[in-house]
Amino acid sequence: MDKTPIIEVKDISKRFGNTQALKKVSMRVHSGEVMGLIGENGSGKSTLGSIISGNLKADEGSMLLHGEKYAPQNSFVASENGVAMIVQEQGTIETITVGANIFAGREGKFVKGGILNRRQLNIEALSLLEKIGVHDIRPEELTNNLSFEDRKLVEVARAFHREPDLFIVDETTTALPQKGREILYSLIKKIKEMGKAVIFITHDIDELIMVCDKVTILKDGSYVTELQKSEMDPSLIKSLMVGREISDEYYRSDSDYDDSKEYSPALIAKNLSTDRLKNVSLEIRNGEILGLVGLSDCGMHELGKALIGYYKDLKGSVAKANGVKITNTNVAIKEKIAYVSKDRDSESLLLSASIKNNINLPYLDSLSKFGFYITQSSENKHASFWSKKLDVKCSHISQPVLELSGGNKQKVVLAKWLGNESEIFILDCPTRGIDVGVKESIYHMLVDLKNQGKAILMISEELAEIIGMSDRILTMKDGELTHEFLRDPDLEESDIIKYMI
Amino acid sequence: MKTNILRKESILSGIKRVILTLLLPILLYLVLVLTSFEKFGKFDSFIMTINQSMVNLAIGWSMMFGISVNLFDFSVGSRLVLAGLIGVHFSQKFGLLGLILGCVVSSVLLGSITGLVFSILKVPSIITGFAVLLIFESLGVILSKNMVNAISSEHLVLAKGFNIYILIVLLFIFVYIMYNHTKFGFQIKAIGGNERVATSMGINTAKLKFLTYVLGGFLVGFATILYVSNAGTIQPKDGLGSMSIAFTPIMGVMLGMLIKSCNSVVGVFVGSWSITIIGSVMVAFGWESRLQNVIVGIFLIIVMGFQLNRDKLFKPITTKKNIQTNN
Amino acid sequence: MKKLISIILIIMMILGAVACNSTKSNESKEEVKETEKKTDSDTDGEEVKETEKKTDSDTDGEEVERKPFKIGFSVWGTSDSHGRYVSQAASWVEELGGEVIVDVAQGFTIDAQVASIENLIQSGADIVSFCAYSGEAVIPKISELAEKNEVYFVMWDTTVSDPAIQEMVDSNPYFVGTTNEGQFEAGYETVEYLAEQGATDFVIIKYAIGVAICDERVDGASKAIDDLGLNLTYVIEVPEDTKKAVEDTLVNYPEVNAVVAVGGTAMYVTPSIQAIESVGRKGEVLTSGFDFSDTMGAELEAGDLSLVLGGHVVTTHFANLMALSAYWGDPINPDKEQLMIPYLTVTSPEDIDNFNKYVVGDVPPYTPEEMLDSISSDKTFDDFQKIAMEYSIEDVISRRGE
Repeated sequence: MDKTPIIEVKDISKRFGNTQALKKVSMRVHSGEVMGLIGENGSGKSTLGSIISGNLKADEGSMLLHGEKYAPQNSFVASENGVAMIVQEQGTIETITVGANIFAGREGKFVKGGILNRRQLNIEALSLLEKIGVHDIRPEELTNNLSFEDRKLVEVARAFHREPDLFIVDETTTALPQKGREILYSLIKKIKEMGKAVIFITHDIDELIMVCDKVTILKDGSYVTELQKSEMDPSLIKSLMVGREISDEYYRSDSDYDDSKEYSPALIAKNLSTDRLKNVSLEIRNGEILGLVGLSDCGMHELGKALIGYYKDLKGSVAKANGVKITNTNVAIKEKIAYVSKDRDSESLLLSASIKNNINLPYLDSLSKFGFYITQSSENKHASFWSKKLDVKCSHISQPVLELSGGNKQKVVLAKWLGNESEIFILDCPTRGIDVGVKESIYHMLVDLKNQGKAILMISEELAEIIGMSDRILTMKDGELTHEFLRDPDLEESDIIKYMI
Repeated sequence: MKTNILRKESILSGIKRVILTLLLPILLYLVLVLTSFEKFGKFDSFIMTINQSMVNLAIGWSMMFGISVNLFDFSVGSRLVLAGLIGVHFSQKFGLLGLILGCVVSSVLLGSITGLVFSILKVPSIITGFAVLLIFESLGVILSKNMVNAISSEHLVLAKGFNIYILIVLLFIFVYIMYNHTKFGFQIKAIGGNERVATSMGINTAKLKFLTYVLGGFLVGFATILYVSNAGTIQPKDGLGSMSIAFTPIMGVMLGMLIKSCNSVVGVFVGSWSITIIGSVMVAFGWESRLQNVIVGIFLIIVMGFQLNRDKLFKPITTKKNIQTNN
Repeated sequence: MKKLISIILIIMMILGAVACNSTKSNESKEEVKETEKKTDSDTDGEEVKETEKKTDSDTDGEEVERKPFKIGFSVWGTSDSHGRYVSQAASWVEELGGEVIVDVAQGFTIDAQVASIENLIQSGADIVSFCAYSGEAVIPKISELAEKNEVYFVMWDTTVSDPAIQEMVDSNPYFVGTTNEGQFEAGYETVEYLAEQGATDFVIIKYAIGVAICDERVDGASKAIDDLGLNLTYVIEVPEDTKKAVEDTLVNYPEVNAVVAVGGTAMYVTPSIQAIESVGRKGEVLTSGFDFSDTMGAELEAGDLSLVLGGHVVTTHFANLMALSAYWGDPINPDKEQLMIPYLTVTSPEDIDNFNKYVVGDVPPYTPEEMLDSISSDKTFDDFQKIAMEYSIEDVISRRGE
């Protein structure tokens, strides 16, 4: 193909804090092509899509659109240049009508003498919806009244209004039911026939193979390879996506499931259901590390929260072995259940508060004298003991947590729960965004806790970590537990992936 | 044929909508009639409640645009007082025209200044509002020291007889068009719905928020004319005293925006009118008139509580329905 | 960033407050200048008289040393005409060799008033002069402050009714006394006058809750209504929208034919007049107010307003004189009795013109000699009281010899 590609991405790099999201990634998409973009979570595929669509700015590298230099300031500029993206999370304004959403920011088109012609706007919105094959959404309807799927379609209509040259679809299909998916597929086909291009970001390999002409595979922010339609094979793609080596010394030294031990149950969950979880039952046992693995949106993070009583509308039951039902997070803390959120900064820490205050927070009741009076010295004693024990690198325990590195922040979180004498640990991605050294110490600590007979649930997106650390592994897909593995030296990542994707 | 593309409202549902919209004030007025048919059965008394709501309505409309984009600005009262003092001063020199221009021009200026402070400092609108309020109140006090605050009665005509309706109808047309049929109104509503998404759709949020202050100022100018003409006086207020001017109109706006059966512009009228009638009910019952704010506050909590929890209230019914359909 | 914002905000607030204060002091300075100018341009003959008098008083009481003074004057505001006038009257004594600093308290609360007094003491005031408008409860706190800082204090427009507070201030060597108008009597007179004009069914508008002055006026009015066998139909308390409140009242009680605002003529009477007109009762409902307003001339002329009581601007003047006599070691009111101040009753536009010309005009109604004479050592409290009670527009005119 000698034609100028519609978009050419050259050596794009992007960092988020400590994480290198993209490392010198290059890609070309030609007219009439549907390019798939696939990779594990954190592989940088969505980041790349966001950079092309102007939602993010690259740190390094350049882009050419129709052979001309292209560096959009924001998504609006991108869409003016004919690049539109539909993202996974919601992008419509609920309080205004469908028509107003479709033409938001472009109302000027319908203004004559200062007055906006509402009728004209609605008529055009309607014809646009019809054009993309949506027949049951009315433009004068309040967007709030639509289902999530229909709102997604409104976004598609909005993106399609300009008939973009490059259409980026980021994991949107997961939000759509079959009907919506078909609309989207036929739309992609239409765009392709019109000689335009599509970048299709997904983790669904079957869908990818069906829709795409080519696929670019990313891993850990790096370009792996590009496959032609004829080369696309599910197992090949899978192994290219996740094929990474495990460095052994990192994790536990023992490699077999110890079935000689009696594992007494610590926390029992029965038939948990929310809008994301489907009838999940599991048991966390004392002296055992239970690994839970799946794709990011499979519901495992929600399951972690469900176990501490976070959801009010949870169906099913969570109970400690002593019979106490975990109905809300307060009960969970009282029952010595520790929870470390994946979103550390906003859910596990008070960022502007000191290390001391963070560590002492769940333990305040035990620190107080006569049930209410807390002395400075008891506060300091408790906090400094635990921060030393976990080797939190800080100038002083009254330093704000804000100023710590990711790894040290995580240590504070763990110190908080260890200090609270927790018995059950629910750790959601405990090593996320943490450098190797701290990672290792966290793994060591987990083994210590296990040996002390504590019960641990480790939720992770990193297969290597799960295989390296867990006694038992549960896989999750679409809100359901799909398989249970026991610790085994021969266990391969590919064995587990089968149950995840 | 083309008209059929869009859904048309049937006459029946139109009537239903009008009834739903006016239900609240009509019910409230019925309470008045029940206390004394002799006094409130008269058409004049009915019209009086509408007249009484006009000033608050005008202030309410001026605040509606700001509230739509989540700007709560309690400086409105202080701007109204200052613009009123300036307007009264000009009326002594240039007559009625002086009053109108004095109020409107100074109010647009004051609104723009507030908007500018908001845009530059990027602090929440409530804080901006308080900061400028303190300054404007002081300015009002200083200004009134060296001038006579009297407005001669011939310049009060705008709030008398039919004039007030003409003014209100003109304001209504203006506000209605601005809110519903301009790019400005569309984008305002988009920002109010979800600022982040609106920005990503290419809407210039900062500029529009500033314009909201300017437009608000313009409308406060007219509200000021009505305020001055209605009471026949304008007194400077200090020690945050001007804030209370904004309270009743804000309640009217909040109530109005809760009324889903009509456009918000009409809603603000219905809201302001309803709150006015509540005040009259107080007097009719022989209660302390200053209890009015308490009652209106309670009333608002009930209405908002109902609105926000409507889903929960009706949940048992809907789940039952679901079960039935499942069977 | 947050810090920066908060600093900016604080600066803005301070600026706002300073803007207020600076203009206040400017104003008093301007007044000083004006009065100075006036005395300069006064006829030579008067100056001669002044020196004569001075030598007189020097021989009379040799032990009285008239040291320079600084009076701290605290007021609720200077935007209303009463606040404006009393602040003006307070500065009349400046001609006796001193300075009057005016502080406007930010709000009608006890805290605001105490803070204002503290400001004044810190600015070096020898005497603080104020009205306990935030309620009697403010007095003990200020009494303590005054005693601690050895500053004399005098209260105008104030009556102490609580015996405990009375006892406390009486034992304070720095307490000078109080001045007040007969609030009860004024309320009574208002009703009497309106009854003469044919009023029978009254509405009273209260401008404050739990404030003694306001309550006394209402009590007086109520007593008169009772004594004369009339009806008190409704009491409106501190309305936000006066016009609406009066309209509602007139519709509910069509028999009402008099609206009495016991304070704030401009704030309450003017909207009441609009309300009376809007319900079509113009000319049928009488109105009356307390405290002078800018519009009352036109309203009296049009017959919308029947009478206004006010113009009691000397309340602060006599309080200051009383305090000065104590400060100079020769108290005119050693028993700390209450000095009664008469109200001026205004029923016609001419009354107002005269008031503006002779009382709050460019020249103070009392000359320095008259001031000194009224507190000279040969005068008793009764003499002083008599001089105060003589205050009327006619009195000023006759002393001017016009």
